[in-house]
Amino acid sequence: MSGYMIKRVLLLIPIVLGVTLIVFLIMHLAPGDPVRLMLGERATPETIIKVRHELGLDRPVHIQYFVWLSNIIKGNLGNSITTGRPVLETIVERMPATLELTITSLILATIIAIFLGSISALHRGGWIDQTTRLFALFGISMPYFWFALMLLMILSLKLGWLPVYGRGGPIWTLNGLKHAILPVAVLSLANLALLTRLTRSTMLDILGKDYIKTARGKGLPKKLVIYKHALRNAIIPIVTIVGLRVAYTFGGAVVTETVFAWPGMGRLIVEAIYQRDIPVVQGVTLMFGIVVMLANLFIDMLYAYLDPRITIE
Amino acid sequence: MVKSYLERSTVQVVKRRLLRDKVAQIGLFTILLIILISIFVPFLAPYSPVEPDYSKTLQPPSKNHFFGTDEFGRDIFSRTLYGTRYALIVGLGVVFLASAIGITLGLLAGYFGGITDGMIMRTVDIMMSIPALVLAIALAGVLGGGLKSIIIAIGVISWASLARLVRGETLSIKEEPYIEVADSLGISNLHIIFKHILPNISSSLIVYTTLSMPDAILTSAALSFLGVGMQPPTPEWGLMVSEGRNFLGSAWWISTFPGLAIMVISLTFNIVGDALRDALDPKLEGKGIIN
Amino acid sequence: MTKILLDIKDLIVYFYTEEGIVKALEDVGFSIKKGETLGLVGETGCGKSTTASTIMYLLPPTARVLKGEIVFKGKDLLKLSENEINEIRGREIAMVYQDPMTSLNPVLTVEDQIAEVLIYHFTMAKKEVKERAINLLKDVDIPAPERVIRMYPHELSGGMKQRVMIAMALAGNPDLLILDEPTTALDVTVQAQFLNLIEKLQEKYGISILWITHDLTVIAEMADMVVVMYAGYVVEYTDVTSLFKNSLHPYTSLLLKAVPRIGTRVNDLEIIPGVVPNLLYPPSGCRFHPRCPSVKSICKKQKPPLMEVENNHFVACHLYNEN
Repeated sequence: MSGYMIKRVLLLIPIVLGVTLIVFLIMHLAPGDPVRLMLGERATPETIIKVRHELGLDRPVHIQYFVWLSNIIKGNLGNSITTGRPVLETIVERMPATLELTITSLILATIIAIFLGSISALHRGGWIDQTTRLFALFGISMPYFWFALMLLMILSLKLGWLPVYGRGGPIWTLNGLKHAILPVAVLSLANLALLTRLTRSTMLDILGKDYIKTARGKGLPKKLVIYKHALRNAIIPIVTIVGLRVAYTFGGAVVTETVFAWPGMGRLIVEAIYQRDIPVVQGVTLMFGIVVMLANLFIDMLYAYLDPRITIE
Repeated sequence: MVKSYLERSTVQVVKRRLLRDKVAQIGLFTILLIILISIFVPFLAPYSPVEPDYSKTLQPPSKNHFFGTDEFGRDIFSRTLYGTRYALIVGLGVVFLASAIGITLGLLAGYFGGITDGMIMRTVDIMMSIPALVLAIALAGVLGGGLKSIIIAIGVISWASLARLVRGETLSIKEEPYIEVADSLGISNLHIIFKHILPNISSSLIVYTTLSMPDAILTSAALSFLGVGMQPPTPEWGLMVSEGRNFLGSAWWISTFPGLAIMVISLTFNIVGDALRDALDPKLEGKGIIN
Repeated sequence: MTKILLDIKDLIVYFYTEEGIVKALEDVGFSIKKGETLGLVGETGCGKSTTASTIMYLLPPTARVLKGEIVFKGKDLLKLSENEINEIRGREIAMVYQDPMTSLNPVLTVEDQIAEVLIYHFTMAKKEVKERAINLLKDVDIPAPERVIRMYPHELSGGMKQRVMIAMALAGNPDLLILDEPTTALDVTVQAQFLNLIEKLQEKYGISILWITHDLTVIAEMADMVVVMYAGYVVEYTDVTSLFKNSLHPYTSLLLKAVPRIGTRVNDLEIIPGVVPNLLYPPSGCRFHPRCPSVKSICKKQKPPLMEVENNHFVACHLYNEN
């Protein structure tokens, strides 16, 4: 079992590196000199050349990449061009906020979606089903930055119920919770809508299968058939899709953090892209890549646990 | 003789089902309406979308200005109407680009297997592990914003899941006996791909491309909202929402209406896409016995 | 006189679908005695499976029972509540389904799926449950039952899966076992083993069996009484010997002629001309009249009722109605 895990992790490393390579190349294609941006308009050409040399930015691109790679292994992600602080430090500072936001909204969305989707499938055609389907349709069509602004406008500005921006501390504190409600709600929306639709159609598909008929033919109570027989099977494809949504959710976190001034990695990377702060962009991308990989690994294991047809080979 | 999988009757069945679906009809009609608006907008819009009028700034919705005016005195209603152009062009552009890349790579991977498959699928894995928006922001920022960069940026990211889908379907069709027959008869690979495989995946492709329009439009709006997409003074909806951000408390109409427009166009494509999928899918949803 | 276990009378079941009303069962009636094996024969689509589904009351949402009674041990099953019928399903009446590959839940173990019946219909201690499950597997001739109970369906062969289904069905000590085309998905040698197994089990447990099939050879071997169905209604109903030696309905005669027997040459095989009617728009009068070699003018206008023409031999055909 652990051999399998090690193998998986080893396979994932080239992928993570591939990710960083792509981002690195993109950033270096960028017009716009980070040094010039940082030093401002009045910097003299000599200063610029000097600073570039200090930061190692005048070396060939592939050498820069290898230097960066070799540094990672030592745990050094370099320093931000704009602030000069070690990238790793900044990331560690900001990561909990993003993780809190992403994990909470994913878990929340999944649980509610399974619940709503199942009820929808069971009462197919009924008012619960129609309402849920309508809501889910709106959910996947909603531009969530706009949704965020609308919620902000109504709940924070007009009604004053919730704070407008920022994070108020860990989510288990009251202040933290109050600040987190809107961002989490906004980030969960798309996932919730999509997963509800998925659960509904998966359940409908499964409820038509032969083994459900067998279960009913055994005289088992309806509730048991639904939870034990149907849902246990439905969860498998649902879990797979949730895994695919992890990367998407991080993307959504970027926008959500921007709108709500949430101090996370999403906002960090957007700012870094504007400022052409390459080490920060690289570092955060690497972090995202690693987290997504770990999440996928977790999902894979969960999948193997849930589906006895998959053996860990 | 080696027959193709798609029966002629399927098209008729699909048409019949679509015609019966009232909601789908509304959706199709709305899309048509939006396309017409985007074409004839210079005749439909009461005001210019870009010219400022400082005597009329920040006016609430009224008879003269259905959606009110923004900080430059521009009529939001007109700007929203002009926005249909950008939404449609970006949507179509992205879908086209992503499809071209995705279908090609998916077919190659599925049909030829082996190293080609491995390499393409590794790349797909990589693409799917980067949060799409992050990459799009980076790319768009690099390419300098504007219509072409958005299309390229989003298109280049979106092909991955399509490639995976196409590969999967190609793999399962490849197993069909008639493909083996065609192959052993010496029919060229290209012929097999175009005559046998493509038609069979076409229904999935139609559904997929329709359903990816909303994604493309939403992502481009997000990019513009963040400032790396379309630049002012373009009347693009995402940009308009962003411009209204500072006036949320005072002039709510600036952000609200463009956002609504984005939602409406996404809704429409989702409705039509859903209807298409239900109509094309041979197994109708759930025939269960839990009653 | 052996007691009647199941008595079906005047059963009418229609399906209200998108395309129209499918008249699936029209005035279906027959009975099964205790310990008896009744074979239900007919081509695909004649209503045999629908009849079984109606007995178990597991019909799709589009189905409606318009008329009829299904009296089982004195109670009309069609009038029972959901809870009441759940008590009977799996316990007094059990069913084995057609396709063993898809009829078992892929994420649950064999033990789990058998134990469910035991847990929900009897109160048994956990240890007892496991023992009983192993014994049931032994009854159906599954080797190494202690290992098999821990397995998942995908680890078993088709024949084994079929036996697990029988074990599941027997777990409730049913009085009536419904077998829906159980041998269709099996190959011939496995089929022979299966028939032997059922014979053995019936002797041991004394259960009545409703055997649904389109294979007359199986009927010949296993059934005591036979019901022949066509396009949703019963055309002939008698004991197995009378059916084979003295079939009365033209459809039955054609069915029998279509079965290859050792000694017949290939040229002598007769095919029944025409196709099974679409039950959305069934033919008028007797539904078999378009394909009947002995058709008369009255057959197109009036549907023949099921009448006892000889001792314990019922037919629905105008040839025997001299009214």
